[in-house]
Order: sequence, then structure tokens, then C-alpha cells
Amino acid sequence: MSSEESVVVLLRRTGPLDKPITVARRLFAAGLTLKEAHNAINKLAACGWAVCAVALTEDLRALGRELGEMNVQLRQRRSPTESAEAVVTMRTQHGLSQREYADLLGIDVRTLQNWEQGRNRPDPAAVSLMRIFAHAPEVFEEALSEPLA
Amino acid sequence: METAVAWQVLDFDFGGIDTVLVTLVDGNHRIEVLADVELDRRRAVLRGLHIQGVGRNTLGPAVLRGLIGWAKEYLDVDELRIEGAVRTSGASPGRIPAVLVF
Repeated sequence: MSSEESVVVLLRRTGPLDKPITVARRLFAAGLTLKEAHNAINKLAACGWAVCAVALTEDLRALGRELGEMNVQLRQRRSPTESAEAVVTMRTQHGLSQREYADLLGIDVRTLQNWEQGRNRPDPAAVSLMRIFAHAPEVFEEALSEPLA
Repeated sequence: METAVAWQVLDFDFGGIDTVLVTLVDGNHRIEVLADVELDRRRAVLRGLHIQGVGRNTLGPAVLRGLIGWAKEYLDVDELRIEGAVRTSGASPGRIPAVLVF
């Protein structure tokens, strides 16, 4: 299944997985290979979450309802793009200057200015980084910095 | 020696490489097994094994003993090694069960 024929979803365990094979069967029916479905339930069991790609033709609401009944929450990945206004909002909600925000993200300030003025769009990885900072700055700080002494 | 219960394979999906999903019935019970399977001469290894049964006491010790005996005959192996997946329910979910060798 190519990326054009599939949509990336996140699975989150919300309780005991009493019917792991039924979950695997449903994921198999949604376009995963059996190996991928097996890996997904192993990840759900061990980590509480998994990421996988289901067929674009799949009715995600119906799939979400069915998995939800088996204590698996289906979450669709957000669009990997952000508008120029959203980039400004994600920066200013934390009271940061363009220079500070660019330094935090590890990019040139002119790159950030281009995003904020709509001349260029940030790539999906940069969008993910900005969203993580906007959502949980403490996680960002912990992951990307270390004490000097 | 234990007599193997007359299980039969109702449904079998092979996921490429080594993943199998098998539905087994014996008249009273219906069991599904999902695992990565490795066959090495007289030994079979089932990794990340999940097992799911329908009905009361389907997965009791007696049924499982019979199933293991049948599986060894079916696969024609002397040793069946089960490396179960992280437990998803029941006692101690989240625990990796000990390796079982039959």
C-alpha cells in the first residue's frame, strides 16, 4: 500500500486489550499486512500506542468506533502543514521574539520570517517540532537541552 | 504421553515472512492464535504469541495442554518454544511472560 493509498493513524490503548486478535483482524481488514497488524498490537500492549497506515478507502469513523469498543482509540494524524498565521501564534503564545524562537528551533531567523510571512512553508518535521513546543514546552526543553553542570 | 485433542485448522492467514493467524476448532472450543513462527528442523518457535478464545474456560490449562500436543504433532516437531507477547489483559497486563518450552 503506497502513501497515496493510505492514511497514517495513531492508536492509543485506553484499557485492557481483551481481544488483541480481533483488533489485529480489524487492522488487517483496514489494509495493514498481518505482520504490521501483529506489530501494532504488540506495540499497543507494550507501549500503549502504535502508529500505522490504513487504506484511504477505510471509513475512519466506523473503524474508530469498532476499535474504541475494544479499548483502542483511533487518532488521525493532524495535517503536516501550518499557515503563516499559525506559525506566528505558536511563537507569540509563549511570548518569544523571532530570534528566540528561531534559536530554540535551531533555524535561521530569516527562515522563520519566511514562514511567518507566507513566503515559504515549514516542512512537516518543522511543523511537528513547533507543535510539540506549543503543546508541551517542558518536553521540548527536556529533550533538546541538557544542564551544563 | 498426552493424547492430542482433535483440533482442526479452520482458517489460516499467512502474513508474509513469518506471521500467521490461525483459527482452530475442536467441536467445543474455538481458539485464535497470532504469532511469528520460526521452524528450525525439529523445533518450532512462536514469538509475540497472542491467543484468544471464545467461550467459557476456552483457554483453561486442559485445553491448552491438548492444543500444545496437537500443535507439536501438526508441525511435526519435538520442541515447541513459546515466547509470548506482552500480556494485554488478565493477570499482570504489561508483563512479558516467561518463555515456555514443551
